[in-house]
Amino acid sequence: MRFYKYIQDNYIVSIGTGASGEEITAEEYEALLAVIRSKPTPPDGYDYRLRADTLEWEEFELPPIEDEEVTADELLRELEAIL
Amino acid sequence: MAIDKAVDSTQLDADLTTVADAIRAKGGTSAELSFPGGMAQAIADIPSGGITPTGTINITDTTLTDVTNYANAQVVDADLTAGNIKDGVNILGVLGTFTGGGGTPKINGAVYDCGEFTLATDTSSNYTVSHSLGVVPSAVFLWVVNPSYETRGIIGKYATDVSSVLNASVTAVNGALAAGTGSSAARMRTYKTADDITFCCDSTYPLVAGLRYQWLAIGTEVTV
Repeated sequence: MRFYKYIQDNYIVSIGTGASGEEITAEEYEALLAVIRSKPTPPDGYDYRLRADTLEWEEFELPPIEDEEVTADELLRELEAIL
Repeated sequence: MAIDKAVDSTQLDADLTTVADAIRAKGGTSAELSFPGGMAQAIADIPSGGITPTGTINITDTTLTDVTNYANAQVVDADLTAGNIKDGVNILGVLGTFTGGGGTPKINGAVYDCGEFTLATDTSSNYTVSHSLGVVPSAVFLWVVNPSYETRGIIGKYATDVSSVLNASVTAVNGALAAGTGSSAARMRTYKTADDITFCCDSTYPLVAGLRYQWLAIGTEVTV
């Protein structure tokens, strides 16, 4: 089984099994999984991201949620897909 | 001593000289040799023949069997590693660890690939995984493994015509993947290529950090 970690801008986005990302050992996978599972609870409006170099959680402010604008074409395509 | 044969002394001397010359040549000397004691000693002084085996020969092929002149022989093959040998099988002292199957796995004749992922941070945008099918999957499924999320359901959609963008969406079959959404219908689109699957979530139905997601992609029949 191939284990991987997916890093973007020096932050660990995810870990997993399969063909994605950078291959790691099973031991490193288990160690990262333990770190992810011990993620602290963020305050409202914030979240934590995991630094790839230090494996420390870094707090960041979440972007404001905006309503999605759906075009008529998109709605039609969705309806077609359902039908 | 009885005399029972007449001998040509000239011929005898010539024959003995021939023998003595041969001994001298082999022994590396020009000294006179008496008969029989000198000749016998000269022969005894000649070192025994043969060579001393030294070094090590690497046996890299089953057709290589000649190990003449080598003190040692060893089997050498870069592919003789634990990962290349079936789990539990010992070949020449190397214990195998390989657990993969033979050939490309199939479901009802269709190739498939699967994997799992755990996110470090919630994502409400796109998340892409790579697959090894080599064809655009005709079906993709995604579900949560964590026990507390067992009832969150599975999303997936089978699309026979993968050329249409309409078939690129994945609709929730039973509930949502996100925490706290109960049985409400969810939708999550996927975009599929011959190499990747992108799960397109949104702020209402994000992929949640810490959860163990598993995915399955089924390709089309591949004729080899």
